[in-house]
Amino acid sequence: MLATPVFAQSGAPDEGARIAAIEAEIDATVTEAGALAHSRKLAAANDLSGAASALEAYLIGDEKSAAVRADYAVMLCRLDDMAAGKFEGAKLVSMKAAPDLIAAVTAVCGALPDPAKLALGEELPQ
Amino acid sequence: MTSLITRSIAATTLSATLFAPFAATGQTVGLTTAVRNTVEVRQSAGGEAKPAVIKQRVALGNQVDTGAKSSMQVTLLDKSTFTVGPNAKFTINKFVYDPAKQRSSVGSTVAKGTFRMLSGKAARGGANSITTPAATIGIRGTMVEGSVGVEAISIAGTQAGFAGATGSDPSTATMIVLRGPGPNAQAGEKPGEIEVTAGGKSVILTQPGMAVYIPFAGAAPMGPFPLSPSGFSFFDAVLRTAPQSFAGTLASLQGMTATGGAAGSGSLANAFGAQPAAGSEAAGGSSSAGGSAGGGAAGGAAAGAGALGSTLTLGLLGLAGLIAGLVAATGDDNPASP
Repeated sequence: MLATPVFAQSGAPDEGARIAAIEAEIDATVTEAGALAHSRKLAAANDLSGAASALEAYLIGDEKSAAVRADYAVMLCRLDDMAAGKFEGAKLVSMKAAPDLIAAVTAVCGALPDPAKLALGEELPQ
Repeated sequence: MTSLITRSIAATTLSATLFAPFAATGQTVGLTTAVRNTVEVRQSAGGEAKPAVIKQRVALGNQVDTGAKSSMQVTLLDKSTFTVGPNAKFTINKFVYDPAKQRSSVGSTVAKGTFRMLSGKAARGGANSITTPAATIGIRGTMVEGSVGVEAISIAGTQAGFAGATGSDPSTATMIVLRGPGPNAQAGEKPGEIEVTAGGKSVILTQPGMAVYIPFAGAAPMGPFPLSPSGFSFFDAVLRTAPQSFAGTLASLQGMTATGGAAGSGSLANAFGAQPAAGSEAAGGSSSAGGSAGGGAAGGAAAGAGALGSTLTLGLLGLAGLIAGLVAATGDDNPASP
């Protein structure tokens, strides 16, 4: 007798649970503190891409959050998208974010570009 | 309990995928996790448009449209996320997910606009694909960004040596860039890889920041080449947000592009001190690694500087205006995101 294929259509028990889990995550990341806590939990579980996605979603609604942007920059650099991470770091510099946030990003991403020089093209190679 | 979630819509041709009505399925494949300004969801192409809200279920075959100054993020059941910028149109038309084996296969279609996809880490064992009017992008556990239409032409204009881009089609031109994870990613994140197929040729990208450009349907990919800082800024401006204090920097980067100044003068990898973008390769034909002098050479297909086509120039100016609108809108609109 052949083994039963692993297959289920819509309504599989797993599907409902996954929808509920995503809804719970959305609820948990409504606030800045919630978004930070959730993304750090994912990062601690080695899910860096999940952490980055959660932070991205929060920043779509709150572009002024320096704390979330700092974590986002760090996450991008940990994913080895250094260019994107440093670009986010430059945004933090432009908004004069707290030194501890800048330091946290610099520790992972390295030196951050100066937004003014970036705007002038001075940091672009000849 | 082990289960396999399978969703698929058969499409015999690309045009059918993009424009023909889908069979309504109603099968949920994900939820909206962020919505900014005007986003509409249709049950199928041509169906009634309904405003999208946070936590809205997105079903197989739903057509998602974003308005000006708008964006959204969808999280799929395998935890992959799909973010689209303004004036975009996309559909999830295939979803196969086996949690037990941590494998998924997601098929999506982007008819126009700019997008970003992050594969869910718990589902990196499978292969995802994104279809545009000019290319198919095979994605293996990665972060990828792309643009279709006028925006793609604008981004191409940031790259030096795109004489071959003259004749770009504003409705099918496609720009694709690999963002990661890179070879030095932490926490066990495996390096990403994409294969872009167009015009009978495939190009594989393995290094973050490397891009290819397909000027029109039927054309082979140009590249790979390192995306210029100005090109990166175009993606950034529509897919991410920025504080008002950074608006000047973004505008300057766009201005460099629109006036033909410093655009394309270097790669982000060089500008920000990242590793040289070596190791990208072209499959099944001529190999063309990026990082050549000038930082923007697009393989052999577009070597040498040259005038951009009128279509390209118009695209640049159009997107510059669009981005200016986005920056101006920052803080004035009422995001629906949590």
